[in-house]
This record gives sequence, C-alpha cells and structure tokens, in this order.
Amino acid sequence: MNVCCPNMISPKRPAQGITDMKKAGFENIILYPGVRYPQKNDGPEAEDDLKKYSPDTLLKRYSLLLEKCRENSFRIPIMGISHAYMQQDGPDIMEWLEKTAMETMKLCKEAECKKLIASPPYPRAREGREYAENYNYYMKIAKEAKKYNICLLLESQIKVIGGHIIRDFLAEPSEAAEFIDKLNSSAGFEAFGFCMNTAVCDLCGHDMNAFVTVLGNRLKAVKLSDSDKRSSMGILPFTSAINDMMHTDWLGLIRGLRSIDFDGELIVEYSNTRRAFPPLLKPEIFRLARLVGDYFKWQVQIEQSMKKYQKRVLFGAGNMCRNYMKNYGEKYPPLFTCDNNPKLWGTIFEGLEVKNPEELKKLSSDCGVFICNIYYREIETQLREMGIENIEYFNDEYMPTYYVDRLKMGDY
Amino acid sequence: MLEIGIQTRNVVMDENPAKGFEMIKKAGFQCCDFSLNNYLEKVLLDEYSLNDFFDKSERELEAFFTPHKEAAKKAGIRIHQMHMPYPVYLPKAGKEINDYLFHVVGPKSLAVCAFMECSYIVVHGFKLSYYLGSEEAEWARTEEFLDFLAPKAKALGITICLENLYTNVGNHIIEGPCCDARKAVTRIDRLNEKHGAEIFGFCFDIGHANLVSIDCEDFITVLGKRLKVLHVHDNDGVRDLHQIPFTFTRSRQNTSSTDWEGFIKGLQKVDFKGVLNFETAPTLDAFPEVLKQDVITFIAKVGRYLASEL
Repeated sequence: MNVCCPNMISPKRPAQGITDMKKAGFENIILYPGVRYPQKNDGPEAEDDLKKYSPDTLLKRYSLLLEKCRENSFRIPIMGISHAYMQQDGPDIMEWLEKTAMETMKLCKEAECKKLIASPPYPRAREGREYAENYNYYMKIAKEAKKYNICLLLESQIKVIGGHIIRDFLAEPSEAAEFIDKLNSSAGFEAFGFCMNTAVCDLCGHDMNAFVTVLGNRLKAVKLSDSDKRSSMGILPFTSAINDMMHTDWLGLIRGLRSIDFDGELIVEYSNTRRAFPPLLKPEIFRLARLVGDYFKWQVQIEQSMKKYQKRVLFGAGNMCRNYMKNYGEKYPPLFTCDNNPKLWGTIFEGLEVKNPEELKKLSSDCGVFICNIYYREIETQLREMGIENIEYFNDEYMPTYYVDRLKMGDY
Repeated sequence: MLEIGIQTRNVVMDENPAKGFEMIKKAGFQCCDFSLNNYLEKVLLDEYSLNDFFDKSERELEAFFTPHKEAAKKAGIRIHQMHMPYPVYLPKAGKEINDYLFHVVGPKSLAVCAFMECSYIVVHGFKLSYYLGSEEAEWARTEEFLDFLAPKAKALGITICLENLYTNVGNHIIEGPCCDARKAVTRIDRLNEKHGAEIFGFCFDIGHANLVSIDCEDFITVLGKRLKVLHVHDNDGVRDLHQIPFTFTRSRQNTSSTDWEGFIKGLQKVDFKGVLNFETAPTLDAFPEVLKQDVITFIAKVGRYLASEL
C-alpha cells in the first residue's frame, strides 16, 4: 500500500517541491497532468494557449518533473486524466478527451505508473445517455490501457440542485460495481477499477463501510479527504470537526478497508488545507498530511504488525486487551499480558496471565510487545528505558467489539 | 390523478377522531397515513422507556381504535398506510425492551393495521451497523424481525414496507438502513420469494433521501414495482425537518434545493399508481393552531400540484 501525496512539484521549477516532499517524508505522488480544453466561447486569442497546453505536449512539459522524481527516488504510482475546465458541450470535446487520455497514458508509461484515474466525463444530467456515452469512451481508451498495462480507475460523480449536492453517475457503489464489471467483461481483461473519494462520500452521506464492501476488490485507490459538509472537499482528514466531534465516518472507512484487505493507493487529498496555509507554514502541513496518510495505512493494515512477530506479549489488562483477545486472540495469541498495577500480577485476564512488566526483559528478539492502553507514549518511554525494542501500538477504536462491549446487549 | 394522503399525527386526536378526519377531508385529501407510532413515541424509546399501550390485547386495541376507524370511514378517508412505532431495536437498551418491541409491538401493530383495513405498514430497519461492524450484519438482524412478522402479515394481507433511513455519525448524518436501492430490491425479492407472497415492499422517503444526497430518479427507477408507499416532505439537507415541499433553498437563485424534478420523473418512469402521502406533521407544530386547517389545505394543494405533474 502506497501513501501518495498530490503533486506539489512544479513541472517548470521542481526544486522546492522536491525539497518539501522529501522533508515531509512522502515517497509517492499522484499527478494530474494539465491540459487546456477548448471552450464554447474561445476566441482567436485562445489558439496559442490551446497549442501550448494541448494533450500532445504532455510528455515534453512533464519530462523535467519525471526526471527529478527519478533522481530523488519519488514514485508516481497513480495519475489522473485532467478534466479541469472541460465543458461538456465544448467544440470537438470527444476528440480532445480521447487524445488527453491517450497522451496521459504515454506519460504513465514514462513514469512506470500503472493506475490512471479516468473519471466518467459524461454526467447523468445528459438525460440517460451517460451510460452509453461513458461506456463508449472507456471502451475506446481501454485498448491503449492494455498496451501499457494500466488499470483505469473510475470515480463517483455529483451534481448540484438548488445549491444542494446530489449523487450522480457511479455515486451508488452497486451501480459502480456493475458498470466496472461490464466494462471489464467487454474489455476482456481487468482494465477498470475504482477510486473512492471520501469527501464525495461524506458530502453524499454514504455509509463508507458499505460503500467499500460493495466495491470489494474493484477498489484500487482511496482519496482521503474531509469535507465541509456543504460543498467543499480537499480538506485534511480529521480537521473537519465541530462540538468536539469529527464529521466524517472514518470508522466506517477503516472497517470497510480492513474487511476487503485493501492494498491499493492511499492518496492524502488536502488541496484546500494546503492552499489555506501561509507559504512559510506549508512544510509543516505537508508533514502532518504524511503522518495522517501513514496513520490510515497503519490502521487498515493493523494485522501486519501482529504478523511481523513469531511471538507476542501485551501491555495492559483492560478493555483494549479484551478487544485484542476478541479480535485476534486466536489468530495471534499472546504469551501473556503485563500491567503496572502490582495488584493484578498473577491474576488471569481474558485467559492471559498478568505479569510484572519486568518479565518483558526476558523476551526473545522475535517477540513483539503490543501496548494495549491509551497512554501509549508514556508506556513506550517506560519500555524503551527498560531496553525493550520491539514495541508496537495496538488500537481497538475501529473494531466492532469496541462498541459492543460497551452495550447492554444481552444476546450479542 | 393520484390520490393524496397525509399523516394523522397532530390532526387526529384520540378524544375526538372525527374532528381530525373531517379536517383532512375538508383539506382535500382522500387518504391518510395512520400514525400508530404516536402510541409508543420515539422520544420515549430514545430514553429506553416503554409505556403500557401495547400491553392491551388485540381485542382491546381494536376496541380502542374503533372510533378512529369509524370516523375515518364516515369522513370518507381511506387509511392507506400506517407507521409501526420506531425504532424497533434499541442497541443500548436491555433485552427486555427489545424483546417487547420485537415480540409484542411488532405483531400487535400488524393486527391494528389489519383491523383498520390498511394494506401497508412502514417498518424501520435496525440501526446497528456502527455496533456490529457492517451493514450486512445489521441487515441480518432486521431480516430476523421481518421473517418473524412475515407469516402474520401474509395471513392478514398486509405489505410491510421498508424505508430509506439515515443515521448519525459524529455531528453528521449519513445513510442508514435501506439506502442502497439495488440491495433493497435484491433483499425484497428474496424475502418475497422465501415467504411465497408479496409481503414486502418499499416506502420511499424523499426527505430522508435529500439528507444523504440520494438521486431520487435513479433510486425510484431501481425500486420499480416494489415501491408501494411514499413519505413526502422537505428539509434543508441537514436536519430531518419534515416540512412542506418546496420550502427550502440553498442558493441565491432560491430554487428548491430538494430534487422534486427527479422525484416526479422517477414516479413517472415506474408508473407509480399509489398515494402521494405527506409526512409533514411537524409543520403543524410550527404554525399556530388556528391556522391548522389552512396549513393542511395548502399541503393538499401541493399534493394536487405534484399529482398533476405526474
């Protein structure tokens, strides 16, 4: 699973973007190579711009950026076909769209990029023609995708009615899954997948767990983004909160991604937050964005940390320990647990003997110590001072049992 | 032209049901949605409390509702649909309350529905995905309840209608049970096949749909013939306000922010022949009592407008 950052590297002046990304700790970027589409009202003065930013200039315009990425070991595992400022009824729009897709795929080849976000260009507002028109568009570009071994990722669309956002084409996960299956069947290979945008889901009130589960292995990338609950997206996850509570259904998302063993691209999409911060503070927000991305990766792949060790020991004998045992006790059984409370030493909790933390010093090097207590940092310091090295955090807040245990549900 | 209906809550009172049904008739409605949920209110259940209303035997319940039934008939109002008390499961309540809702309130609601000669009862799905970890696990619990009710509904000739609901996560509303039309269709068809009759259908609630940005035309079209009843009302897209259609705007152009056009197109596409039923009782809390007749008369006018568009 790659944690990707939206491109912050200018194609013309890449040095600062490279420095910022390196400092933030990002290793992967998502790139939306820009194209200028002809507009309905374009006059003769637009001609130069159209030539300068036409799809067939992409390779040339982005060659320096690709070179600098290679030099600095940045990967571009995912790109997107730019539809920015495209007008549905612009002149020759179909021709431009196909050309943009083809040229972006050539750029993908240069960048060794295997996933390309190709949003459906035709919205549902086209009176029922959107299905056939989008289908035809995808079938045309699928041949080129096969040539370059690229998976094309579709995205949910939204529309606005009287200032209110409404789901549009592919915004229903069942519809998206069905459409992708049809495209793949027609293409004869797995040419298509899905890229989920959490802010779109949030604005549309989706149950993200159900959304992810319905899409299953068709889901190849997730854009992690918060919204303002009205219209704006591109806000750094966990920052959209009010009255001590976050808005977004991160619980549903993480549960869903775990349930499908998601291993695609995690894209931290925080363009609005990034723009809002003053230039001198931007490096700090980049670093925070990377930490947020890493956190999601860790939560989704929480089992990986358990798999890493031959043996495991827990630290803590409370609710979190109980939830470890309920969720992973059989699959990754711990040797024992320990606690700083001497009164608990020698007792049995959830089938585990509670020992003095001093016992941890006797562990072999293939044993991991999992902190099952929210005082993570304090306990980690204690363990480090004891010379313990294989320290891991366990976290139960996205596990079903976390909530069930707190209920009076006699029959659960 | 389609018939129009309105919920009885805030209009039909137990002490004089005839007065309420006369008001409904005078406003221009032909039908009503009998608010059985009034007798075990959500506000009470939200506090994990019960009352003793459903302790009555089925015969006692029939006796209690006889004046309502007779008053509706006298006024010429058909009881087209009914709402079972909700929620039907309280995750944080004890087993005793949930057993009572499951084994007592559920079946007795069906009995009242049949007694009132009403063909449709709206039943809420369980809201449990947050606790059980997935929508599928949540649906499994709802299906247990529906399977339990099915034989009685079949015997009484009642169609149980599932409704698209919402739920709250943090400070935000997200979709709740039955918000995926494609899943709902599969599940309704499977349940009907399992029980060998058309016992299950759908109640499309446009206000709830608006809260979670559902595309009404798509949703209704996917439901097709499974769509049996409607809850028509409006809101600001943020809170479940149950107000009169066309009330809310969210842009300087001041056009309606609810997708009424998609709603009408969807109903046209599936050739809906049911009742345009308004779930707008909270409007009557907002307006002064003396304007009640005028308000429901206006709601009926909106109903006739929507019917004419179909």
